[in-house]
Amino acid sequence: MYLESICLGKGNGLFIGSGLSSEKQYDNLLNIVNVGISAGICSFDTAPSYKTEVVLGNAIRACLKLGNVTREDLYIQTKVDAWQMQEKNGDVYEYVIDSLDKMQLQYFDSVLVHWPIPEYLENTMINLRMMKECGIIRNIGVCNVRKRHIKQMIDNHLLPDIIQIERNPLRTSNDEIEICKENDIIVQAYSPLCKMNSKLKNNILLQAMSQKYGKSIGQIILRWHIDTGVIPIFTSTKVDRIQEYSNIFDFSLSIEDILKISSLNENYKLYLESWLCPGF
Amino acid sequence: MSRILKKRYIFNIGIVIYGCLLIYGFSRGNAIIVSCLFFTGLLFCFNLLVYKKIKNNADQFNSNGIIRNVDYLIIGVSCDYKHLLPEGATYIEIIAPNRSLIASYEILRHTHSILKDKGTIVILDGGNAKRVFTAFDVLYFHSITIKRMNLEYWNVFKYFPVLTNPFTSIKMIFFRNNKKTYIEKTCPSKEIIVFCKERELKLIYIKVNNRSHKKEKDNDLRIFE
Repeated sequence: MYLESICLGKGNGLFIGSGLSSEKQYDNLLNIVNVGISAGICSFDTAPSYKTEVVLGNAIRACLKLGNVTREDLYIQTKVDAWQMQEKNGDVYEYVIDSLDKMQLQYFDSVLVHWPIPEYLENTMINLRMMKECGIIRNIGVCNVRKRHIKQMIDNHLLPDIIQIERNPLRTSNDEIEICKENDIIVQAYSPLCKMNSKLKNNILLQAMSQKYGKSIGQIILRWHIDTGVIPIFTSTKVDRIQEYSNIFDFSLSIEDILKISSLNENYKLYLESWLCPGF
Repeated sequence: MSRILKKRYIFNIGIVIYGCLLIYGFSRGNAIIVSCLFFTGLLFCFNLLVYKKIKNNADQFNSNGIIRNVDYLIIGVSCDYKHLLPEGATYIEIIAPNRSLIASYEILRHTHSILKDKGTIVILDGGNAKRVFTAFDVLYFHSITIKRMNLEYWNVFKYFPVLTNPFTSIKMIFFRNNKKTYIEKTCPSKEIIVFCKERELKLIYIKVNNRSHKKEKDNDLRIFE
């Protein structure tokens, strides 16, 4: 039910990320994008720092040529990196245009601020909003934010459409999700499986649920994201894995099981925000 | 070629050249060349030791680091404070001899996420730093900080702490003076106070003095209890 309201593009609501550890070879990425689209995953996430914009753009172009999907069916998202924010003190117009050129696109479905660097966040958001008004961007957002950042943006009338945070059963980010739901902000989760941390992989509770639902632990966790109203962005270099993870819409978790998974929270962080965003 | 592979490549070539020069020196029986090379090698090894010590600590903050959600983040000058911590408390230390308060604040801005929610920051301030920033600080800084604060010089020399800070390097490895007095005070930096308050972090500021400098009697604090 909630999924319908958070669906982006015409896909099933899942995202394929092309992060730092993802596939960068054209042939392999084309295969992944193709399989993803066939499996109903029409949303793709990238960033200049991932160095995948060109290759992902080429793969998407090739899929569009095949005629199975149109640009309107797809949801393509990129980011504005910290160095870009610093270089032009938040005036990131030329970098967004550069990303559009690299990906051979007319517009982005969303552009997110990669890190909320305090010195440049406000200016960057103002500039992105101007680009949204021009139609170059359809949605704007910020990654790696905590509740206090969202509150501050609300106070400054710079409400984002989307936030993207690290979220998994070991870090449920309840405060952020609550404030986002109150303000109609879409929440995306990166590292949704916490790189399959051994605490998750060997968790008895998740193993029992895996047997109960006849699904893998990865599928259970992704379904937990969906059932809690969050869009998971996962990355894989294996086609089988993409197919496996897209196959999560034939079941849903019971409320008790959702709560049980949420109880695994220990605020574990893979990425320390302040390390990648000084002054966080 | 990736950055890491490039560095390894340069490192290996350097080792080979060094080996060749050493063999040349020995074959010629030239004592001056051999002793120069020996001293250079020694200096290089010591530099590597100091650099690795800082780097390994800094690597904990990367995504593959395993230390997370600690109770205490201790930043500042070298001293033996561990006996002051409550039993069982988890902590991570980022300490170096003669670190300035400004450098401690900048490190805090980069590292505080390693603390658990409402964790405690401990600033150990010696108050006698001759330089604001050193090679011991820059390894903890993000590239945008290096650019914002015009620290490109240190960004290059961060790999050579022994060259830029020889005495501090020696102090760091060999002389970790344990005989200090610890006096808890109000932090003189309003920026640090506001920073911690906004993030709901507890702040403990400690002025550290060499015991020999003060004739105070056993006034070690048990501030962490």
